[in-house]
Amino acid sequence: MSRGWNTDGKGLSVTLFGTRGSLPAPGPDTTRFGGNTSCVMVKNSAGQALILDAGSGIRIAGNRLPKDVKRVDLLLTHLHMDHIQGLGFFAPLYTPGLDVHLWGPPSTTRTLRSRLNRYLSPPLFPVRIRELPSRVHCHDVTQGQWEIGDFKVRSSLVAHPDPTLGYRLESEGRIVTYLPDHEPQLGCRTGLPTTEWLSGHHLAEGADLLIHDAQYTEDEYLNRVGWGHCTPTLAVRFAELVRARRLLFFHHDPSRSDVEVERICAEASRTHKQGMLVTEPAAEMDEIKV
Amino acid sequence: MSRPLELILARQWAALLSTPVMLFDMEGSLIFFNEAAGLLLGRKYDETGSMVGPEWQAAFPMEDEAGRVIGATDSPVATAIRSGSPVMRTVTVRAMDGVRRKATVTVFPVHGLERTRQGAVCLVHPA
Ligand SMILES: [Zn+2]
Ligand SMILES: [Zn+2]
Repeated sequence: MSRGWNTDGKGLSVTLFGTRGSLPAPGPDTTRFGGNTSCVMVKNSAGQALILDAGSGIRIAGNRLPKDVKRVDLLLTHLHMDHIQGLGFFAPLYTPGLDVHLWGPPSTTRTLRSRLNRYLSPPLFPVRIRELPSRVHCHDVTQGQWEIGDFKVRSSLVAHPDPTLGYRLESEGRIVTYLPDHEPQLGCRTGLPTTEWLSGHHLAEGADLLIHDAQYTEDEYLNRVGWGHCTPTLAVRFAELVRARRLLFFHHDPSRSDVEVERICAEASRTHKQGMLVTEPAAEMDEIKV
Repeated sequence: MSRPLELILARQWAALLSTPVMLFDMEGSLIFFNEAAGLLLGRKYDETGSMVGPEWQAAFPMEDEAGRVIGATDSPVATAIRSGSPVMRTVTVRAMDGVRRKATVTVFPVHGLERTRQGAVCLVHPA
């Protein structure tokens, strides 16, 4: 499904190949919002694409890249399993000579490449990174700003267990912010802190599209403080604080049916009173024009 | 611009502690102190907000064991930030409520991922 076409013919297209959190959740109850874990492709009008995260959705994303693509950039927020489990099934990695750039966080003692090697090696996976036919370039990133083609990329550590990045992508005057796993409310007794102390604020400020964690209901969160996730209602508060224009509820809990996703996101959307923010649950294979 | 996550999490942690904690950025500004530290300093953070170096040094000067005021560049905070190493020192604070309080301060610099330096955390032990 494709919605929200731009009138000036410019802008970004955002395709959601995986919207689920924690564990793939295929089945009859999740056909609408999807069962694949985190993977999003952001493309500008020149056709340049960046891929965010390598959840199980990346298998299909990899097949959607043009056959003659010269370079592929994959930005990883962190190395929890639901964000890298599709990596071994990402077709560009098996294209001889293709330059594949992997961007993501090191730990305090290990590089991104060495951290990824833990997954891409026996006994978890039969092929090692160095055995892949493509040319894999790993870039350790934490906080910073750099350019990939026509995209300005900004990253920063955000509140989630283990080193975790959020990304802000800017191209053609549009801003897309990706915070799939984020607990900005951690340690606050009520609501969210002021913007100065708000994790992810400068990444999301003024975003045209904010893709934000909305995994837990308020009741579930009470027993999962510190697990690194947000609620749909707090995602709305966060979007209001950063003055985002549009919010996608993302990282749906694997136990959540389509009906339940629809209901908790609708309830959260009703808490937005100013009426400036457009909100909706992220649905797999949706293509959104920004 | 929001602060680095290392300091955001330090503040959230400090806010839950009954140990007095102060947080400083790399410029030596006092960017947060918890309620327990507020009792020692004689004011609440909500009343003062963050204070740049000269402000907090004037608001609650620290004295060494001989009773001399410790200069800005010699303060345990400045030393820890400059050297990148922890500093422990016993000082007397002329608090904002006019009371002099003796305390041992432990200041450790915050080294983030890829050795980025983000500021310093100061734990205060009333002496
Ligand atoms: Zn996740
Ligand atoms: Zn995670």
